[in-house]
Amino acid sequence: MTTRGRGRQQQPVGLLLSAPYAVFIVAVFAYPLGLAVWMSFHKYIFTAPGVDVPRPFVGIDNYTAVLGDPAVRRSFLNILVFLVINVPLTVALALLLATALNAAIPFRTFLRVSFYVPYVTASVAVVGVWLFLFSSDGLVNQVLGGVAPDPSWLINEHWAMPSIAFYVTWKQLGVFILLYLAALQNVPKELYESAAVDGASRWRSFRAVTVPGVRTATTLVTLLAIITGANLFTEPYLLTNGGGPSGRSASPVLLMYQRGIEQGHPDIAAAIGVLLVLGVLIIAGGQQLLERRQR
Amino acid sequence: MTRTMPGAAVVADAAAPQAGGGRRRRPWWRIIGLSLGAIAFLFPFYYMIVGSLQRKSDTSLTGVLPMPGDLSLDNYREINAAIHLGQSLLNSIIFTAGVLLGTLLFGVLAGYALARLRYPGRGTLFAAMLLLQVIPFQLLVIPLYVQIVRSYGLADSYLGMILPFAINSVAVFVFRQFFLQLPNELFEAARIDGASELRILRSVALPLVRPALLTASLLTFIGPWNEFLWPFLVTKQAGKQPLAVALANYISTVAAAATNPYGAILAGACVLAGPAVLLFIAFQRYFVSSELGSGVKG
Amino acid sequence: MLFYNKKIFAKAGISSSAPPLATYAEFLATAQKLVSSGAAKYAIFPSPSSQFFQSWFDFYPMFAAESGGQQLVVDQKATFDSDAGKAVAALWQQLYAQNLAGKEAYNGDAFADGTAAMASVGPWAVAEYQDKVDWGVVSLPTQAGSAEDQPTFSDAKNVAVYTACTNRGTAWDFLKFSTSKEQDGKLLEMTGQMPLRQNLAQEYAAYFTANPKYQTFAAKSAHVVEVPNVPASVEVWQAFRDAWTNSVIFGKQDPNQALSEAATKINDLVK
Repeated sequence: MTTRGRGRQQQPVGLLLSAPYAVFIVAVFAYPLGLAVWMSFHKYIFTAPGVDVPRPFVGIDNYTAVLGDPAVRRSFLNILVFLVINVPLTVALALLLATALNAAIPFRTFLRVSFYVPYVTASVAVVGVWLFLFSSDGLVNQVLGGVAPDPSWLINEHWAMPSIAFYVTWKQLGVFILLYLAALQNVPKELYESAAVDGASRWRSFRAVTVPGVRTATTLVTLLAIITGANLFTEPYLLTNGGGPSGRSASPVLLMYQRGIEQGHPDIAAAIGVLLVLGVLIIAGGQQLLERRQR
Repeated sequence: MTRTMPGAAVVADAAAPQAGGGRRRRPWWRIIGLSLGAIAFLFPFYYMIVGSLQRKSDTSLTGVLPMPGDLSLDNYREINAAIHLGQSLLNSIIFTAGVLLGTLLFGVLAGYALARLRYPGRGTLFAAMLLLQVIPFQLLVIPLYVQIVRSYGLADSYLGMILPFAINSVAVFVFRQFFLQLPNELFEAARIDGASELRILRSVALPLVRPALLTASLLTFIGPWNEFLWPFLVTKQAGKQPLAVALANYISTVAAAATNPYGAILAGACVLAGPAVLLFIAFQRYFVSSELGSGVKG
Repeated sequence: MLFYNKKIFAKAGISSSAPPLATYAEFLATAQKLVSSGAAKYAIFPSPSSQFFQSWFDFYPMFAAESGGQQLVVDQKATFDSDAGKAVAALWQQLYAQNLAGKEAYNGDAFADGTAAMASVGPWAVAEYQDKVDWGVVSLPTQAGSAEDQPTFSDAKNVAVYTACTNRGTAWDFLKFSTSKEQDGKLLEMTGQMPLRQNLAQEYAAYFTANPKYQTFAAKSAHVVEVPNVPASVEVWQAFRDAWTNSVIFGKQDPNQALSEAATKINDLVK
């Protein structure tokens, strides 16, 4: 029996089913998002209700100011460094660990839980532990002895952002393992059997069966890792005192917080935010194109 | 298309305990590697628990090992006296439950529609969903506050807390992926039989959705459970604040007055992490292979 | 004021009743001895974080003392690239370069934990460290030597009425009430914070007789300076802090040069 779907038929009941979600998006986010974009093209300050101040249209002035600011440019570069380290590491580790944790090994529950635990603990408390481990006389440096970087990790220009990348990888891995675990349930056992019958080694069957089998999950994991990484705020704030040495661990969202909320320039912050969103869309779009070409 | 080989299915079941086929040698190095990884991952959490039980904060290396004489629940008592863990936990539960309800109820419908149905505006909705995930919350937070507190008048209310998180877009994405991965034949068969779309949703799609529900629940749970900034902005009454907010307030104001400030903070953090871990333990049991293909064999 | 931990000082072999902390040279030498003797991990440990307000707790009090009470910006010009500002920066740069002050974030209160031997504090510290540290108090050092009546940073919490206020009469009455002598007295009794009044020690003589530990702070409250009231003040302090962390804390730049650059930037901001 052919399975050619009736592609041209419409099912308007879809409108009904997606209506609550659509209404939610419009009612909650449309105004704030619209205002944020509008702010980025005007000279804007927050005022008490009822206070009237001129808010002139300034074209792309905010954007040129932002792009000309070396601190902002540095922060975007920092995020790139972060993404380059964090995203591949996350995807690879998450898939490998999920595959290993999918097998019926002893203590499976305990092992699964242990990888998930960092994800559910509040950053504010966990950071203290990380500081304990990675401060100049922390556990890691004591173990490394002479090989430890000087100055130490979090105050080192070259290691500050990578340290944050490792921290975030460690912390987020749990949810990505979860996504892969769920996806692995959908990979038919028969495929593994066929591979085994064909004499494939474990590694071959991993590459030939598992990796393609969880492709959609890989897309999701990569996208989420990129988005989370680009929007980093808490970790630079807590781990490296804000900007870190020479602003090497400042993130764009950190700068948005500084400029927008602390210094009272929401128009500049909005410009940074819009640029950040555009950047992420470009990266995500590029990644999707690459994937499509590989198929 | 997989070839269904009944004989192979039997063999597969018998060999199931070892992924990858009926190999005799047990990969001992796999369990060692996993355990080392687990220790590395768990160590900070272990340190948190030990730290929360210590009477005096000990930041040296020896502080890593719990000394029997030093352990007590004092830190938990201390932080409970300051921020009433019970009430805060209740607020966290209400907040999170509201978000879970909204997400599981409306997210499944939206995910199904995005995956399996064609209708005008579907592409726009999908694009909007992606866009929403990309935008950093800090960009929206102040206009969002103006909108929800001033325009909708929802300050100091659970609804005001829940509203920006009501339907988690990542969960919708997960539902969509899940429904996309179901075999087309399931739906074609039902359509040929003349079932209405709603009937198909109810009898074909929903019974299978449990694994996605579990995944989505675990994903969605953490957001509101650990969320600090939004409930903090929206609530001024301490009695309405969820635990994450109470803990953050405690850290920045009262903690320094405690006998062991860092220990008290860790105690609060352990209480905050506890339910999430328990939930995960309960749900992850369901992440074992189910025979999805059986839908077509029948 | 400068709090110091008497036990740590004793352990390092430094006098805990008359510690040599009056001049920069003495302060530095004491700091070196505290750390090299192993009595404390750091001599002093203000937060090295880059938030705009952190300079109020390491640079500004010492600058107030050294410059005789100058604010950061006076008459729309930055004042800190003067000899006084440079001297303060040079001292702190030495402290950081010799690892006598910590450069990483610290979880908790370094002075309370005994990790740092000294701390720059306000009257809140009396109650805060009561049971935790056996403390002594002196004025902050200056190059030439500290004096009893040298100025310091007040870290005052002030009030204002917005022009958007629709009930200004009521607001004004409320402000007068809440800063009246009686209410200020209640603030003092309940929190130990010094109200901003003249002749504090005489106005509330009974309180200070009963709580002698606050007397130094009362005397000091007559010699305080606040942050300058300029537009874009958050940006001003952020620009200063960025220059400070880059040059003084992390040693990436010469402090004198960093201060000049920051001064130029700040002059632009407050024009």
